Amino acid sequence: MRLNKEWTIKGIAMAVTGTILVLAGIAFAQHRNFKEEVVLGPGVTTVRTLGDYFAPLKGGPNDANVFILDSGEPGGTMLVLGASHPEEPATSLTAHLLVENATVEQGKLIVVIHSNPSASTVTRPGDAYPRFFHIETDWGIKKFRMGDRWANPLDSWPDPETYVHFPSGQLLAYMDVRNLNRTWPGRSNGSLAEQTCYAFMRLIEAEGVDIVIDLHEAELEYPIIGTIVAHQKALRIAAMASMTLTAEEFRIGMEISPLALHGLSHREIGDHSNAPALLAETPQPFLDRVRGITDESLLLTGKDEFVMKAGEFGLLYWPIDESGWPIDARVGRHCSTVLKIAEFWTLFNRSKPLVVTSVPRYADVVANGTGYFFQDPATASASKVVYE
Amino acid sequence: MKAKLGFGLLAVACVFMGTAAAQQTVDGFVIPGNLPLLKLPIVVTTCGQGPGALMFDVICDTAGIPCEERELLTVEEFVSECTGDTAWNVLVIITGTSLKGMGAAGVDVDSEVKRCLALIAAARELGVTIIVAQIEGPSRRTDESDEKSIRAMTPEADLLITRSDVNNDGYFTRIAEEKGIPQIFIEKTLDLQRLLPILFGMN
Repeated sequence: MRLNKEWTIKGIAMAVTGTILVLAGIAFAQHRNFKEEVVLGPGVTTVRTLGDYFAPLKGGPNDANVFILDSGEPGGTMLVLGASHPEEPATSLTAHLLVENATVEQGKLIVVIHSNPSASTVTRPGDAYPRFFHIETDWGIKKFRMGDRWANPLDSWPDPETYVHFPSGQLLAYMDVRNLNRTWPGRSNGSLAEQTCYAFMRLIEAEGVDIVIDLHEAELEYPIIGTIVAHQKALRIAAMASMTLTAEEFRIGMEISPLALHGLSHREIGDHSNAPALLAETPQPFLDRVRGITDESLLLTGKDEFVMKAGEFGLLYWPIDESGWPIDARVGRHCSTVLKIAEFWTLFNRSKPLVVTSVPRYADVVANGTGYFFQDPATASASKVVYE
Repeated sequence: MKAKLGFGLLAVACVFMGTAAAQQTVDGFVIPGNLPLLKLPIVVTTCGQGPGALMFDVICDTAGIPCEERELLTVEEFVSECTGDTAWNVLVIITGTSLKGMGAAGVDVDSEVKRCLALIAAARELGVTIIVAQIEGPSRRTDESDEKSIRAMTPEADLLITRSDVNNDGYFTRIAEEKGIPQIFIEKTLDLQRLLPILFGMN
């Protein structure tokens, strides 16, 4: 009788555990296999993938789509990287918006929506991140994957005890071997993230990229926020962009890329190619450690009473009030920052102009919402829809 | 329009001739009457390795104002280059710190304050005018390092140029009044494009 009771309890425990495993597996598989639909805008002339620049990536988890918007007119070439950290969704949304809307009148714009696609197929279950988020559009709800800071361990495993950055030899945290903004300039036989950076460096060479913008978001507890971090080759562009954006649209600072801090895009791309890199940060309360409930609402509204309370105690490096930091403000900031940097690139490099149009600025995105600028894949020609 | 411009030029002339003790408003800037003598060229450095000196230099470039940016200017370099026909006549120190910048330069806020105080002492001996400027706004008044830089440099100025949005606690107004230092407030960093030509009589 007692034996039967034990087996019953064990059986129930196994059934519950099995059910949880199956449900979790389904949830993980849904997230990993979900594809975002991108409608190619009027400016897109070619879609390549990173594997075209470094064959070992072809068909793998980080064979990211590379959208090329070539005016056909001589000029400068700008590369915009979205979602180096996919837990910073204003970056992929901005890149997505560029692909669906931008036209280029002079020079060439290259956009990558998910620069580390593997990291967009996993979140942080321990931090209760939502798997998806949704943006309202005029034609319905558009669904996106939420991601993590690091590549999916399913694609890049195991991590080393200590990550030794190549080629500097600087010691970094073990998990940063999967962090796309710690593995520049990359190496051909390294981790997935290192190989991805290596592929991007080959892309920069092959496409003659003149300037790179790496889009990011940051927690308000972090001092490098609401700013443009610039490589030494791009200081004047960053200074003018920072000052004019602050005068005309919104407050944004500037930082100079430290010479001895390795693995970051703003340091290594400029050091190892002809293209200087700038990194743009927007404020994202979702990333703050003192935040409250971590859900899609926080991700999209940027409203959090605990982060606000931290601000009252002077613990933040960026202001926040009841309005929070909504996704539209963050996407708008990135749109204007990209446009302003292109303008000053042209001003300082008149022989290589880069003229990008049809992209909304900060005020447009805030007024109309991010979703207003996304096209309906259901009404687009099948040949114009690409899956991310 | 012409009359307005004429009045503005007259006001500036009065200020530079030292005949006007009262403040004047020129192109939206309130210019105090006790403005020091300002002669070009300028050398600009930063007390805290932020990008402010670079911004100041870029603005001078766009305004056609001779200026040299020296992020880690030493007192020896300053003294040796303050002689001859091309000697610097104005030392601009931009306050506010960057942890990344100071880390990259291998300095800290205390060594930055020490370096800049030495520059100020040398400038006084050489008769070089000292402008202390906070031009990056709240981004460079966030922590203890920023405060150290600001509070060490501000009282030493011959002229203060200050972003109005960092004066919420009235510190800059108070120190200027206590020390009798003329101060000009700007709303935005880019205002320097209009202000500097006025100050240096280049309009």
